[in-house]
Amino acid sequence: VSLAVGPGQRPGTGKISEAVSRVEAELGRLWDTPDEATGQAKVRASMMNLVVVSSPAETEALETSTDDLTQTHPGRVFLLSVDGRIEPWDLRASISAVCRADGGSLLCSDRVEIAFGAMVVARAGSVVSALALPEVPTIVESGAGAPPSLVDALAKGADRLIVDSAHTSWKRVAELARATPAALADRNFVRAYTWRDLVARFFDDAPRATRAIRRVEITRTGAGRQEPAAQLIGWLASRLGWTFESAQRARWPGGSVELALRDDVRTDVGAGEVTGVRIETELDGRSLVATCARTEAPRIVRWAMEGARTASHDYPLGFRDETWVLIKTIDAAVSDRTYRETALAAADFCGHLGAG
Amino acid sequence: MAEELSVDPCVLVIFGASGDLTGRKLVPGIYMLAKNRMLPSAFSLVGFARRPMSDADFRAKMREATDKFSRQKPVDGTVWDDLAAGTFYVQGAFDEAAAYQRLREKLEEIDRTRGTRGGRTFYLAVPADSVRPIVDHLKEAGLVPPPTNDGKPYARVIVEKPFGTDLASARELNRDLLQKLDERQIFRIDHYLGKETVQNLLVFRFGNTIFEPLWSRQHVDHVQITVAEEIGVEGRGKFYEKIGITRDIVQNHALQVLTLVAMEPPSSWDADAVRDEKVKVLRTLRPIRGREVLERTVRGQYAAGIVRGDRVPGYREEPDVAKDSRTETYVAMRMQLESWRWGGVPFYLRSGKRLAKRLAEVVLHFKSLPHGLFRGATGATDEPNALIVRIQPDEGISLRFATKVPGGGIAVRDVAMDFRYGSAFGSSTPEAYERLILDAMRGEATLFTRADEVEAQWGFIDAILEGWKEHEAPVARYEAGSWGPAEADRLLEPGDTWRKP
Repeated sequence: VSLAVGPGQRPGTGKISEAVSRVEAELGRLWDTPDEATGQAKVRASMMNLVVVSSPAETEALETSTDDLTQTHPGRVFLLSVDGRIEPWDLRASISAVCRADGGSLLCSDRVEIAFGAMVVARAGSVVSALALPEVPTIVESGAGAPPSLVDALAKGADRLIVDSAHTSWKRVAELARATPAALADRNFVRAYTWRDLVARFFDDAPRATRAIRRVEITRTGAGRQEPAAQLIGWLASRLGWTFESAQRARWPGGSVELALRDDVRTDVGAGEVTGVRIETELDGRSLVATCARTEAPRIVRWAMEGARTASHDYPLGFRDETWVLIKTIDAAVSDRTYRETALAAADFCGHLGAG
Repeated sequence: MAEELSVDPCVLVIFGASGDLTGRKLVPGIYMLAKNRMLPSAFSLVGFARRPMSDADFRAKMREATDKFSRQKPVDGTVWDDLAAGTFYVQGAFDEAAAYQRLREKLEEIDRTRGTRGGRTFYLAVPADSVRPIVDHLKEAGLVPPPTNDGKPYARVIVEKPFGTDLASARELNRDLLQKLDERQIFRIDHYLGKETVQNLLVFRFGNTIFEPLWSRQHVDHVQITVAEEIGVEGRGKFYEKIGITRDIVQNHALQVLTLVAMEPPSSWDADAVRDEKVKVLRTLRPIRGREVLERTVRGQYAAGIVRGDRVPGYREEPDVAKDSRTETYVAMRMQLESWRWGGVPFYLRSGKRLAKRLAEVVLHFKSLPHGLFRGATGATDEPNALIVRIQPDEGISLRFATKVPGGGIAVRDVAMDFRYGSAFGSSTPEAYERLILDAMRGEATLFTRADEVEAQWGFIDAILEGWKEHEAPVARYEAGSWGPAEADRLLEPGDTWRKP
């Protein structure tokens, strides 16, 4: 179903609410009509409204990835974009359903795609609110190329807001964190879990060493869209109570920590990725150097401690596809508070760095 | 209660036959009754209004309205033709005695030609100030004789809301009507009571054994009743300035829903047994008087905003609304029922225009866990349970409870066990007006409001309206498309929040 609606003079038919009503009616018809092939009634399973904001170019890829997602996380999916090719006062919507046979039933989720003209972006929140399923949370994802104005229009009504700090600046993430009380999650925070886990393990049986950290050095490949070290530094700062004096120095009530970023020129790791973390500290008056760094095999990390403690292990970083990453971002509410604090600290760090 | 109860032969006369309600709801509803063979074989429809029109014109106009507003389309030509053959129009002013003579002659002619045997139901789809003159003239014309012991032939009058504008006017209207009619002949309609979900509240509570034990202060923490509209005043600014949402919605629809939620089990499904229990609820409502209105109620007015994607003006920018208007388009209140069952349980009620969604629902929030076994688990809350009764749209009932998220460890997520009328019974649920018109023709008054009920409703509302006036209660502003003013939050007990469905 395609709808084109303008402010009155357009080829469509007038007010946006009329388009909303037509989409509602089409959704109603979709659910009332049995499956053409089998004659079976469709059963709706819903655990969320997922609203993904992106550029129009991403929509096709998102159709596939959200279809995968709804196999395990059924719900109503909204794919929203601002499309410069349509008239500024128009919006275009289409709906479809994805069904799968499950125990003799046809279990379906529906998808609503809406492209907004530039002048009606601010109304997106109201449109989604009218079409969203009741009684389930609304999760808004700021996807690749998401226009900030569209994300802002939706953030107010979100129960959970997902960003990807691989392509969204920390300044922007912090803006969103401050603007919405909704839980905030980050795909890139999920991707970087292993790094945080390995760094935390340095201090598992020596927590007092966290209070003696003198220097943190992070190596990363260049040409990333955002500073890849900021997340780890922001996370350390948020956990250990650091504030930033400059991009080179963090301070806490008991002392200060030198921060260093190094470029890694290796080409077998993608752009803008962390390749190593080195932490210099003390334990019981003795020096302790903890490192985890990618080995020659880029997906293997060598975790090592030298000085007051000695140990060395290799760990695979593993591979997780983006559907898994998104599922974790939706489900892993346990790290919400940590992430919010990390994001604010990372933005502060980037402010000192002069990066966004 | 059985749907197969027969209806005696009758003529349904609609006063205000050229009005919006007749075309949108009444005649399409009557058509559906005809289509479903719920009308007696000897049935006739007569429209009565000021506008000059022939029978043929009236039939054509009603056919057009039915084509547009019937819940089942296309309209079945054969059914419509049968209905149209018995449809007539009488032109006249409501205060013109001669018009009632013409009506009487027409009805007698219909009795002779169509066998309707003197059965009459008069539907007054007219402004409130026309009710009295119409009833007076019906009486003078001998069209509403007192009921007989065997109930045949019968004459009943259906009266639309508003039933008065305050307690005094409601009492006066009741008194005047009861001078001309017997209470058994008066059917005060509140179309909310014709909605399946509203009726189902009683079946849900008293037709099952598992819910009623939970339905009290022992288990319920608080109750939220919401009647929300997306629309504004829709060009009726002049009317709305005099009414406000408290009179328009709370006095009738919202309080009706409250009584059904809170009532004790009636001894039978008899009209008076059910209505007795509803009236008892209204009498247990602790009045909100004087300065208390400032603590237990919030009134508000919508400002400009966005609703369903459209920019809409604020209330004071609407045509025929004063720039300094203090008429409320939103009201929220914290109510207490002084009864053994509900003592100490807050009932939060809110109703507004230009809110985020068109929605009517009742939600019972159950008490928090006595011991937080899973406190600290991801997603765990202390108050996981709520029972949501959706009256409109998407009628149904949901029970929200906590479940373990599959996988390692203990993560908890609220899920809803959902019953939807549309899914369980298809889309053939009758419209409220179909049910109520049929009930009135049968003389079944359970779903209509009794005189003492109306007066008890006004008694509660009057005190609030007077308190607002006396203490100059502020009028909070809220953005159109939101869930109302932030000021409404202060009505809630600590830890409670308004739902955003």
